[in-house]
Amino acid sequence: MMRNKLLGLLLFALSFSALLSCETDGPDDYKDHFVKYYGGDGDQESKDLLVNDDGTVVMLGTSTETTGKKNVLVVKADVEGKQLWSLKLVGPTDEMAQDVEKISTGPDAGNYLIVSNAEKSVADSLAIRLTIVSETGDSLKSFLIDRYESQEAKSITILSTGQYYLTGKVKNVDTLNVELPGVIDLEDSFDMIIGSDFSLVSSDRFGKSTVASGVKILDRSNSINYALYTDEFIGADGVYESNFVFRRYNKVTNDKESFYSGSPRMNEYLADIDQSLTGIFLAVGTQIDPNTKSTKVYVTSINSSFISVNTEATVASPNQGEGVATCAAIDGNFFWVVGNEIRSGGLRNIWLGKLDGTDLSTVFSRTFGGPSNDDTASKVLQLDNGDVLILGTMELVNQKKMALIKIKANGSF
Amino acid sequence: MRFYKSLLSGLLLISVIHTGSFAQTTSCEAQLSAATAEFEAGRFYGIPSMLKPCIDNGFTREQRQRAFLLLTQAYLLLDDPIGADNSYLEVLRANPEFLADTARDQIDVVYLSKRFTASPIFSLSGRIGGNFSPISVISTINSSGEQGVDNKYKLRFGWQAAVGVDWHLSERIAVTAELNYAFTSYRKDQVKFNNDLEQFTDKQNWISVPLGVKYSFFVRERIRPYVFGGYAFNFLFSDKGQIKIFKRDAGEGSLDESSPEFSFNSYRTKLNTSLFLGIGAKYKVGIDFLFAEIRYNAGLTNVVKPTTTYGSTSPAIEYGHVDDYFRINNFSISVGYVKPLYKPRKLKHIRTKSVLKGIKKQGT
Repeated sequence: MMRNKLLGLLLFALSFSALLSCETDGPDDYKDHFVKYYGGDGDQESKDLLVNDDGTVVMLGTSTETTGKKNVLVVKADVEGKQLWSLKLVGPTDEMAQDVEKISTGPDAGNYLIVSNAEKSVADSLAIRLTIVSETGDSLKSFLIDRYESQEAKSITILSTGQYYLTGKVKNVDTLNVELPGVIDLEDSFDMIIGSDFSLVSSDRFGKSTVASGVKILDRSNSINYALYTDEFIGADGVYESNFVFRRYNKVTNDKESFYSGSPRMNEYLADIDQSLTGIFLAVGTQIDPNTKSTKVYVTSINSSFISVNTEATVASPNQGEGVATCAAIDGNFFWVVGNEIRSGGLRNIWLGKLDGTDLSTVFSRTFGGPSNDDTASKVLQLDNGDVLILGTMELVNQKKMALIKIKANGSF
Repeated sequence: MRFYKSLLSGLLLISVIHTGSFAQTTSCEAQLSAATAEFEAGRFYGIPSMLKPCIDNGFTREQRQRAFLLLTQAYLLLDDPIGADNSYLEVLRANPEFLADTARDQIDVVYLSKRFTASPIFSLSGRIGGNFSPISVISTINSSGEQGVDNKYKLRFGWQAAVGVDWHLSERIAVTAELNYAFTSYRKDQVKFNNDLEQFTDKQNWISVPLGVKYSFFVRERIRPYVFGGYAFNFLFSDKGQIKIFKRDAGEGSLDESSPEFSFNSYRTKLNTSLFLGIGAKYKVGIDFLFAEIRYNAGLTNVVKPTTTYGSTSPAIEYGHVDDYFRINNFSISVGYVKPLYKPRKLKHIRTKSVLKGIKKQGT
């Protein structure tokens, strides 16, 4: 009898402890750090990302419908990556997303400015569309910029005056070169100032050699810092090969200073530039060896005055890669860089690196991607809490989707 | 007195051996009937020798029971307790579940029976059957950021086989332990990206050690229902998954792709636990049992390792597949065989109150 009582007691204790051990709630890490995909029918490729003050994010991409038509896709998501709204901007022709910025001043303050490149009726020619989208995902108005025969925007900068500074490249229909006979002139760089009412205030186009494109304009208190790439002769370089080129326009004196970064006999194509908390700049792009076609992530550190290069280098790993975007890290002199690791067969993985802005050494890196898929990076941002956001395009077996990757500063989920 | 009793037993034994050849020429049933007639006529001394040949070779199990019961009665009347004890032990060996009955048997036999038991201390069992595994989601995790993602878990059938041992604390209560292999499976259907379907089929192989308690009813009937429950340690030693994606875009047919079946071991918690409850019934076949039971395992552990939900080359990156956090339950139906390891033996503590109760009951 005593044995049965003891057994009963033991059973009760075991059952009670077993019930207590039941996992009814998992850790919430998956909400804070994740990979989330966005899109619907067809394929969606990411392009740009911004973070709002409340931690929500706005992602910009291009949606290729099942008919082949390309439209601009805007998605807003909360801090856990849950989609709040999405908006597809459907134009009469193919339209490719390029840049998204939050408007901070002027009549459209609080709205988003979307930059896209729209096919014109003439084959292989583009116009630029600026679209204002409200915080709640409504398309409010849009403007088409068609200044040249074919213009492709790279980025837009919202100036402190409330105007917009647009840059990119003009594709020449006639490639005969007036300035440099014998050298084919495929494209020129351009910049345009657009009024807050979206009227064209001014425009400038330059470029003598084969390729040139404005990439980004940084508005600073005393200067406009302009980053581009071109294969014009620069300095002692006696070969037409592309380099990163930087120009500083002094707002007070109107002086202009130029300098460049790049290796002789190599082509460097700039993709992005940002400034660290300590003031130095990091420019990121791709270096291509014209002979071997070897492709490397190329980075250049520029001093805080934006008048000279501190140091420049290719990133050792990945061995073959493309530099796509950069952002200043929240800790001192460091920068986050995203690019694409090119694997054998040409398939790519998203590559993330944290670089020391002083010596350009890689202090941390990791890749994301499926072994059979072509996955590419678009943008990287670091949040105030240290988390890192990467926007990319992931190929999920039979479709491409915009992907938002949110990781901790140490690279883990 | 004791000397004479022993002498008597010895003589009986010699008599049994001596007359062995007689039994071989007579049918054992007839021999048993003859011995019974001898007993009823009050001639006890010749009974052992009459039965000896058939005891050695010829009685069926049921006949052995009757024969040794007759011998037990004879020895009791001959005042030979050793012989009676030995004979009653043989009764229990022939039928371990034999119970003397005040309505049928001599009161001396009934009292004697209270000094013995053949109840098994251990029983061995084996079972086999089918199962399915309902999923209890702890946290829903979607790889798609969009709203309106629809997740449904579908049941798939598996099977299991087990061997077990019951430690009988009493006739009704036993502590049970098993070694169980189970193959389980489920399917998760997720609709996302505007009507695309992702089908994830998960197949798991488990080794489990369920420890529990079993309570039996109607322990003297041919069909004996029982209930059981306990705690199980479940080792997930293999988990394989396959992802099928049906891209169903408007205006286009379904573009279907399927992954190979690949290991999910690194994404799973190896050691899981569960509580189980069940009911069953044993059906007596000879001195053993066939049984059938249904069992429900309530999983207690998150089967998914939370740290592996995302990774550089995880299914989340390659296929857009993310596991929810979930517990896996299991509902199984089994049939099996129980071999009680009967052990006829003398009891240390004798209880005879039930005899008096039985007599009183008969009187009313």
